[in-house]
Amino acid sequence: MGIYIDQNLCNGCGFPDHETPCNMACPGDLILMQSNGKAQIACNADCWDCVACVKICPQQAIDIRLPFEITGKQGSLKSRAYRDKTIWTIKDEKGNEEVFETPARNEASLSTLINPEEFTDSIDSFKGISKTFLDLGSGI
Amino acid sequence: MDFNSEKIEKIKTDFLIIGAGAAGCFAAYEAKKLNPNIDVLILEKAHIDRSGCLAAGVNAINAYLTPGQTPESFVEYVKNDSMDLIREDLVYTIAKEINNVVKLLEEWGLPIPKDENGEYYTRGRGSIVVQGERVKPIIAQATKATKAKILNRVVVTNLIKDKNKVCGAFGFGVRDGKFYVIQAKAVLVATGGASGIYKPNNEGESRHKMWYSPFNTGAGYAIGIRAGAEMTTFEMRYVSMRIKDLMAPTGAVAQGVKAQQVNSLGERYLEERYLEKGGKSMPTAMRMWATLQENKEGRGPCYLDTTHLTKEQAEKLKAFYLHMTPGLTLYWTSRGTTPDIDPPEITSTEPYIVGGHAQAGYWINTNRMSNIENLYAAGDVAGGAPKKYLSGAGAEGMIAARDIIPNLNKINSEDINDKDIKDELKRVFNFMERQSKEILPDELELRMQKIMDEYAGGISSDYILNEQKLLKARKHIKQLKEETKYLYAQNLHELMKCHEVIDRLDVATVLIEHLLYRKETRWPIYQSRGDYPNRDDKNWLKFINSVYDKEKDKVSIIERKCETLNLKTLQK
Repeated sequence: MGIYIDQNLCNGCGFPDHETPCNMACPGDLILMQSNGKAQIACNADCWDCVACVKICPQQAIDIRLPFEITGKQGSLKSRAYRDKTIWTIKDEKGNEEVFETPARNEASLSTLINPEEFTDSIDSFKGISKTFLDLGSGI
Repeated sequence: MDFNSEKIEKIKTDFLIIGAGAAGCFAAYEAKKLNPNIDVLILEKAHIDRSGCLAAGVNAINAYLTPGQTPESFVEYVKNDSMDLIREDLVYTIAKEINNVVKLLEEWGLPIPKDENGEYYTRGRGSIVVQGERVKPIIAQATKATKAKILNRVVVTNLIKDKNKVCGAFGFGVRDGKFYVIQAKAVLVATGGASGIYKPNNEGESRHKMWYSPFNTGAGYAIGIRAGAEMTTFEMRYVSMRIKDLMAPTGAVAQGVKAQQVNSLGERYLEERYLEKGGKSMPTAMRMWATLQENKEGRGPCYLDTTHLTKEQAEKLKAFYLHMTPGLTLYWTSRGTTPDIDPPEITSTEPYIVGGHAQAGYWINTNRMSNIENLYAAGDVAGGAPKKYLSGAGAEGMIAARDIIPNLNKINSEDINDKDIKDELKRVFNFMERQSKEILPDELELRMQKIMDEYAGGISSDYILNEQKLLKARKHIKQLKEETKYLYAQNLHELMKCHEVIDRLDVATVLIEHLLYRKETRWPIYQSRGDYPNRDDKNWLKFINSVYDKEKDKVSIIERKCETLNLKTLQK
């Protein structure tokens, strides 16, 4: 499979008043909002494992899992996108964890160029259901 | 659902960009820099933050002039790797711009590690290491800052033409269900190429574990084909050597940690068995051909030998893939292994139709204008300039904008006639009404992939093409196109999928004609004719171009000369 959305953790991010971050991010338009207001993937076979929805979920409700036919094992990957870095947590089937940190932006750009209000790609800009966060870039 | 005139949204703009990837965003940036007062509108099928090829990120920029390299040496390298058939003028103009693109990316925030002398880490002569997990949002942010208008979740379905002049595009909103009619003075097609034409390596639940974005469906080609734009070199398909199962790129392993290609006997086969053909310095297509040859002769599987790595280096490599194919890192962890213990096995992908790695696309002049007036192409859909990748796509977007912006005031914006609007509205939404029988877009896609795989040189036919099989492919794809009228969509997402498979079929139609026409083998694996197994420079060192006539449903082939530039003169 591709992604797994924990239905207990998902809080719908203010849907239907706002587009949810996962829904916004998916390059394949694969995130469905259900009638209970929670997100679900429309078709896991269509998922590309790009992790865009995983990184941006403020509830950290989403992880990716590879199809069993490929790994023969279970395992999952979670990822959180912050303005300056991305934190990755990978678990094998026994629950052993590996944590990685990768830089998201170079320091020069963080201090000089970027207006924090314009971040739509990281969870540290997300404070509750912020309209700014959800509306940016969503049209003209 | 009811689709009446209330659903129609008419927008007028100066400069319409289709696709918010590298090419489209750099075009918007350059256009707004040249003239902030012009109106720039970008239509994007997904959301600009994470759309297309770059959704997951990149860990290298593969078109860059490292110290000592020049635009001239870049042209020579691309020419050699592409068996001498390239548009030198296009590659040269890209080469002059790629380092500027990288400079901008770094200014916008892309982390590019440097050594103690402040130099980028190079991977071979044309490539640098980057930590690009966030590359797409970084580009998106710079684009938003220009105040270019961005309309996300709009699927473009056709270009609008007035005689031989483009005057806009049609599309529909995959979220709002609106029918968009965009009137524009100039249009840049900057979408991705086409995946999903051929049956992929993995099937079923894993069918989209592929290298190239499965959401790049050839729309940019298809709208051009249907509008009568001249296309070039579709027959140079791109087949890529990738890490098996996850289809992850190999560069970080092959060049990054200098892993050699070995067969199951542990032989460095490129050097030990294919030295007379050039060994390790063979063109990309030949290195892959050699790998398939090893498998055929019973010496597979082949690997990238990473067993020389220390534990620490192996962990670093795992982390490095998080920037591009995080699934591979998960794969290693799930399997409880690391690349120093289990070297990655390599395999070849299904063929893709792309202009960024290979050179399928619009036939354009050096300003990136096509044969249709005011219609431009850049990036993956622009033909004749292989190995441009991310930085080259950005370069082409900027080059196009520089030609478009100063000329905009000379162009009259043409009104779009109501009949055209009505016809297209009907064509676009018709699939939401059930016909006498129902075919789902997925079913049609599978059928197309099977035909292409078996008769047009996919993985199961060892990539080998011949006339008789291609004629069967032609016949079956034609039949399949007739079935598209039974496509049925229950919602807007499925409607998008209907149009995607229609676009892919148009790409496949043109591709088959190109494959039939080239009666030689120029690029082994990419284009291997079993009935014409040798390269024939005397007759075929030329471009094969095509124009599709929608009314007659016929593809006409045009031959174009391959011209050599005097690079020394150009320099002046």
